[in-house]
Amino acid sequence: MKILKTYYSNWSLLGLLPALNIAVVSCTNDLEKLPLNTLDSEGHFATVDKYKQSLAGAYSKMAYENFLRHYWSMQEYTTDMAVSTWNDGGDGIYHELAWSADSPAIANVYTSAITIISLCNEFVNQSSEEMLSKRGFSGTDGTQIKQMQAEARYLRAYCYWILMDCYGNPPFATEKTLAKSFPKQIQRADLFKYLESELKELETQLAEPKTNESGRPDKAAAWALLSRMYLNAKVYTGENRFTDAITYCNKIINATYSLESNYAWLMLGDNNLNTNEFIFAIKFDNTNKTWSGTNFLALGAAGVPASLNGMSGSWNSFRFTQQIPALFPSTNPSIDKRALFYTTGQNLEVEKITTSTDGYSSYKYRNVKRDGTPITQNNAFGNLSDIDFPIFRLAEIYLTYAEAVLRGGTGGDNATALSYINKIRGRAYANNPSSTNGNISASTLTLDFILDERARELYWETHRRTDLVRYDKLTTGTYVWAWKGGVKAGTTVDPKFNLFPIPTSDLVVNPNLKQLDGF
Amino acid sequence: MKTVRKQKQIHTMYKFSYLFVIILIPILFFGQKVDVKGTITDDLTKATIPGVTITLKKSTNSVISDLDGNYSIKAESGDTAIFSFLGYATVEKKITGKVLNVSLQEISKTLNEVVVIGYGSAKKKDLTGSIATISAKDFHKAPVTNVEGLIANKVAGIQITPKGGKPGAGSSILIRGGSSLNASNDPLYVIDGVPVEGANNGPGVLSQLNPNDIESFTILKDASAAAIYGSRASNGVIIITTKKGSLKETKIDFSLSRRVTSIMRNAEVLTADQYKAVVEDLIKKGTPPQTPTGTANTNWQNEIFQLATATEGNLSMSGAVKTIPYRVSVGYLNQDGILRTGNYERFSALLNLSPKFLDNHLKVNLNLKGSFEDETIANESAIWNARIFDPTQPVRVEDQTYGGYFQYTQFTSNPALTIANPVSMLEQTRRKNENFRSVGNLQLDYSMHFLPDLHLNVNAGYDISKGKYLDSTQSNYFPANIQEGYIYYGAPSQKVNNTLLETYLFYSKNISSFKSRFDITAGYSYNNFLTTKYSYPTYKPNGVKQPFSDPVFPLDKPSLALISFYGRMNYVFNEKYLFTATIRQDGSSRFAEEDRWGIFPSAAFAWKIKEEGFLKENKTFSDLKLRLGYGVTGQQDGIDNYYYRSYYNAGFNDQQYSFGNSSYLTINPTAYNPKLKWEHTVSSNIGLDFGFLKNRISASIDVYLKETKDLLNKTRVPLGFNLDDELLLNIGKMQNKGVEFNLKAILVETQNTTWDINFNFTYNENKITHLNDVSNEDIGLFSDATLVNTVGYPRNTFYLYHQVYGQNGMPIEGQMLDLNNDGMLNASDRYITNKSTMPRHLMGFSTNYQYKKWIVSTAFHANLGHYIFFQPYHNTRVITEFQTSQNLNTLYYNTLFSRNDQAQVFSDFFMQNASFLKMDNIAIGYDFGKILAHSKVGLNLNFSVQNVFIITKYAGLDPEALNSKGDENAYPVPRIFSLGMNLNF
Repeated sequence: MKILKTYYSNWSLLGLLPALNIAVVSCTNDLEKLPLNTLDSEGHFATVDKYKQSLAGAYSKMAYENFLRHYWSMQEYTTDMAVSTWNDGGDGIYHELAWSADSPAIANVYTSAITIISLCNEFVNQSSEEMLSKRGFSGTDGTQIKQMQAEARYLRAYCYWILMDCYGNPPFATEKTLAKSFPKQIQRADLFKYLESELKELETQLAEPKTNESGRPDKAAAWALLSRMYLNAKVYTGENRFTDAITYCNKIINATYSLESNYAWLMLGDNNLNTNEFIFAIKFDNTNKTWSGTNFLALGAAGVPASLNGMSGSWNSFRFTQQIPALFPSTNPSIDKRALFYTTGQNLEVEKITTSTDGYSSYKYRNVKRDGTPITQNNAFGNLSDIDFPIFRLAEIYLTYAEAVLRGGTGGDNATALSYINKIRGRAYANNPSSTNGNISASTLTLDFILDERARELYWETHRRTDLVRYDKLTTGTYVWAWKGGVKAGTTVDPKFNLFPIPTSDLVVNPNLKQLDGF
Repeated sequence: MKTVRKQKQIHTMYKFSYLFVIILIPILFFGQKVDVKGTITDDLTKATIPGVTITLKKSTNSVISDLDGNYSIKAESGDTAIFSFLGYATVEKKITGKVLNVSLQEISKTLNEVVVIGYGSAKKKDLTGSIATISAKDFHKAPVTNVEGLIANKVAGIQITPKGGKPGAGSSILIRGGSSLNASNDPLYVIDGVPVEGANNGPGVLSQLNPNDIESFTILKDASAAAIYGSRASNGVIIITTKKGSLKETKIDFSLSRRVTSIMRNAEVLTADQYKAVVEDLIKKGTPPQTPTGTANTNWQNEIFQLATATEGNLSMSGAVKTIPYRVSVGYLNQDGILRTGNYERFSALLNLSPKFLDNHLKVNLNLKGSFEDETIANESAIWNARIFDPTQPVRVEDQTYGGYFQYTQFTSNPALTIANPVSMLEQTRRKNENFRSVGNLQLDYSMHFLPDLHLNVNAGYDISKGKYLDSTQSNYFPANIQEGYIYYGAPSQKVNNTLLETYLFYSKNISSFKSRFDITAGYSYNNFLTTKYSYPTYKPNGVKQPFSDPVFPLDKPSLALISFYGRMNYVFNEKYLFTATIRQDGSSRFAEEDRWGIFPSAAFAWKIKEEGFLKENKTFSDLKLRLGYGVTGQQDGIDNYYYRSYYNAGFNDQQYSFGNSSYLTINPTAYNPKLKWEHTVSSNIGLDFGFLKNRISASIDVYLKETKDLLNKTRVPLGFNLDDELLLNIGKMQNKGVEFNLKAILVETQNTTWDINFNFTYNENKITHLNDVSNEDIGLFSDATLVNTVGYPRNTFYLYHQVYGQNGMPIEGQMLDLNNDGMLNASDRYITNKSTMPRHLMGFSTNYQYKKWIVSTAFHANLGHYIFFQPYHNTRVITEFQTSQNLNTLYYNTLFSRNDQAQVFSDFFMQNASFLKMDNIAIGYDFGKILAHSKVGLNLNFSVQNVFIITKYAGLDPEALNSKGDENAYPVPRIFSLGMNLNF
């Protein structure tokens, strides 16, 4: 009867007469409808495992929805590392260094990164102290959820780093603004400060290095992101932070990471075994439809046959410019085993961007085991991938350490820097980080050498654009490569192309955003 | 039955005697002619009537009464004279002497017509709102598949647009410009008292109805008329009434029609020769095609479209079994699509019983409708592929690996990179949809024995359906060859179970001492909508289950409930002043508890000016009525069922994510808006109805203003604001104002000839008047990349760059006007074009011309002032840069562009005025009358053409496209030729 009182206005009483009162009461209750296969937040977050599924939901976004492919395209096609055959989704604009805010390709990473940030914000809200006490989580359960909250914040920080690196001044959404107000714009230097304090706080909350499940970040993942930020700090804030970079490299190196003995193992279908070297990775498994994850990196490499990539024939999507093979002593792995170039049927020089045989390719990514046997495809498509994608691995940390020392950071020294580089060289030349094969002398260790060594070690791992910006070589004439700026011989472009503008699609709907100068 | 038989006997006897007379006349009565004279007067006013037609049964003689109402005619004694005049009941009198004076009784046929309105009916003369009724005699004469086609463009303010040419596809109906943005703009359909929602598995909302069963449509256009349906009436209400049986006669009707449908026009793409020429030119420029040209000459559109046929048969019988009037009908339609391999089959059946019991105190109305639809759905993606497929490639090849079809086999490892042969898409895939549906209701109207003026009406109804769905490909179908083909079979695929219970009290009273009469309706309505959707795993053609294709949930049950209380009062004073007031309260499960209920009131007043002393005797005006109406209606249709709740969805089994060595089924939050509330539309209407010359010319003009508040719109929101980049919000206010004009006139009415015309005109201006959270200086809220909702402009206005043109008049590629002169081209150089996808002027014209037994009719309509963003493939990038070189639209010759990205995509060059004039149909029929002397068998034949031609400057396929970008990949609406036959007993 309470319902009746609440909802009946006087005029409708007349209408009640013919109606069966009982039916009306039950019918009014009918207005409370619930979806069948979904849960509201209270029902959903009833157990620790449900929290974990929700965390998996956020992390999975890096493996799905083309996130990796788009980020990879943005970081590699813009440089000497790759040209795109198909101009897929307008990604040809990257190599031309000629994008505008209307270019569809530049919106991809922006959209994915902010979408992940929103999911993390939601998770942070659902795992707040208040929510945990309301839902009765305490003790071990509470601790586990708090750690997951730190991991959600870590993922958010990583996405903000991408936005800071690529777009400069992105919109800034946190758990406090979610569903409440339109995100405000944050300036690059302010975002840097935020990330710095956020990651330092997380450092205390994340699991100890190497103690967490793979696919979930630990303290070392936070240190690795900090070291990368500090290495590039001048780009973001105008201020050098090389000493801090060294500090965080040291923390990682002291946490007993070591290089795997064989470079060719790094990007194989069973690379989840690389626990010595991998600090934090995106997980892939061929039972899942992770289109355009690492399967794109294995299948996209031009020319590589099924017998080599372990899946199906090549999609012929990308090749190197001739500048990359030139960094190696030879174009086969006989000397430097990292020279995993695929040259059969490929021309060295990129005569034409859209010709898939112009430019060497690589079989670095292969969906096979260490022993070379392909991994059984447990799906209907035969070309999904098991190759995990390492966001951070030790070799990068060694290279960061050396560069930071060379650039004048303190807390490290040249001899140690040289020893780290030579570990990388030893593995590259002799499948043994301790080998003296391929080692260089202190005089060879210059900043330019490090940039080249990064290319040799980290090619096609989403580092190149950031590296060239730091060296101020992306837009300037100090270094040109085939078709840089849309010209065959390569040319200087406007320095505004060190960054991507805010996509028009978001600029026009968010009145808080101001476009980058020049766009 | 007795009465019926008796009538039959009388009829037969009459027939025989008639025959007898015909034979004997020449012998017995030859030459016995007399001059008959007389005066014709009005039965009531005793005024003489000029212009009355007097004809004779046995002679071809006919005369017309003079100005004083006098006539004179030569006739044979014993013959019968027929007196007919428009607006009066026809009278037959046997000639017995030399003087025959006749008085005629006026029938204001239209004004006494009873109109079905929401929860009851009313006499047309008592209506206060803007209500249009169209009954069977005014339907289009060409056969239609869907019921809404019967009245397309017949009424001002109503835009009926075909949703495509797929067999069985329905139409989109927009009344007065539509009140909503993203929420549904469909009107509410009420079929014999059962409101029908889009919860339907067939090709159209109304597709299960057989047009031959329809008696009439009532369209409630303004809020004062529609508000009795409250939350469901913002876009008007269309009440459909099916034919009923009659106690008086038994009628059998059989009709058969045969149709041929053909594509109206192909998209204008390059021919093989033109394509080769463009490619040669590109090779010279050093930009060769990605895939080499072939040697064939294929018109891909001709390969996928066909001349299709359709057959329709209907049989109905109506009459009465004892005192129970009945009508039963069965219908069968079998229609092939113009897109090859598509077919639509419909079996429909209907039963209506309308008996009266307890001394007519209890009226019962039982309606049962059933239909079975069997659709074989041709793969519509083939249409787009046929318009872009390289015309130099052959349809078939010798290699049978992929079933003998030409395919770009270099992409075998990833067919997703290329496009499939359109013919293989039709022939190697199979999609079927079967749907059984039944709509029924039992309506009881009980007039209380102790108080006959008080009626209790109970209406219990249901709308149920059950569907099956099959989607499969052959294992050698190129795009699915990696998966070795697949079969998805869902039986059932979905079940719909909607129920309705309505009850109301109706009381009417005549208080002649106060020159007043009034009626009151008060009621309650409960609607529950429940759909069960089933999911199944996918199999390979060899029966092996595709890995990880098991659905996470085998079924889902989206549901919705609506509960309403409503009341209406009509008051008539002195037969001149009419008042109506309604109120309705609606609760919807789509809103949070605090925003769940909405109240929707209305009021209307009408003044029958004609009844006033100063006009009563006026001969020119036969009717003059002023109507004023105001009302509030609501909207909650077309939005998600649970959008106000935050909830979490499970991911798919094949989209898990691993932590460590375990895989986790992901669970993801959905975007939601806890503050979601009812959309309200406040409308006012001023209307004037006139009739001239005894309503031989009748017209009405309506001026309306509709303001929608708390407009529901799925709007692009800033990234990071919520869990999606689109959010359903109550975004602001929108206005529609307009003028509607309807004219019906009988231009000629003589014994042998009638000619009537029907014309309607609508002007509608739509404008966004307020946006929440957006300052008026801002561009507004985006519906997609080119369409914006901005304060002061029509909804979905194009937001584009100004194209710069060269001296030759051609657009210069990539060159847009730098509006703010900052040396850069970016979003701030785009402008609000003030051009939208909505037509401002709608016009409809139809006419029937009858001469003796011939009838010719035609209908046209025109929409003016709307724009379409026509951007087919028009730049050579599709040849030089796409994985597979693709064909160009001839628009290329107007651009000669070589790429099309960045700003060019948003150029106003592509925005085209899509105003058009369309000849909807032309039909010719011949009525043979009684074809067998001894029987009552009547026959008529008709031939018609539908979608005859379109006149427009728009370069795309269909200027009536529902999509802002044109329907270039949609199923084209075909031209239909039909030949029909109708037999009645």
